[in-house]
Amino acid sequence: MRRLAFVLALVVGLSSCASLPRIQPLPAEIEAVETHLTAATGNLQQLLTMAARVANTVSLIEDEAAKGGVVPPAADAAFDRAMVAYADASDAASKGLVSGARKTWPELRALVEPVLARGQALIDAAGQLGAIKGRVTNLLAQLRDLLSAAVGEFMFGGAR
Amino acid sequence: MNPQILAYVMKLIAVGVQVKNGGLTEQLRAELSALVAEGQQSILEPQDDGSPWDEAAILRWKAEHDTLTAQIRDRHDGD
Repeated sequence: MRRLAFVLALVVGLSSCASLPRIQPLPAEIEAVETHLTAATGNLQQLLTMAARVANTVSLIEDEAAKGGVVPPAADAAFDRAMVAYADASDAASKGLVSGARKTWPELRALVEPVLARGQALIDAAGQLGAIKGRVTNLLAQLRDLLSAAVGEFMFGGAR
Repeated sequence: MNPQILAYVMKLIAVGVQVKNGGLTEQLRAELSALVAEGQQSILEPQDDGSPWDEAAILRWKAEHDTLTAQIRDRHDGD
């Protein structure tokens, strides 16, 4: 069934190309698509996990500071909301990746883009953290770079 | 973070800024094409130890991811 799905995805993908590709033996072509998607999924999952490591470190720093009364309550509440939204978006992307339901490059890219948006919202919320803002700025820059890489690598990948 | 990823993003941003400032010249188009090829290649790279990606490896990264996001949610949800 899985191979049949790949054949279907392959046919749909090829039919959308402007020029027809050179005809190749079908089994080899299917294997190539599977390898590409597995590698892309693995690399994207790794990037999401590395970004989650950074987010978790920022989370620990902010939580400790909030409990110590260093962070204004309104900023703490906004940061909490942004952090939970980020975790939800990253979970949804990770679940979608592993499900294998997305078979094309644009579909994989679309999975990761909301995480980048939530990461940016997290950075914006961190701008209101007062005394600890400086401690998390570099970490959040790493988070943004990781997520930008995940999306950037798919910027022109739709034709694959 | 992975310095290769950071370097790639910086190169992409640098070309983007040049395109924004001076338009898409033939030279910039060539640089962009090279970066696209580099980016597409990097997303297909094997694991850090050189072995090809497989389902088990992906699930190991996902398990760590899910643990981290659960910790984040516990810390910030319902405070």
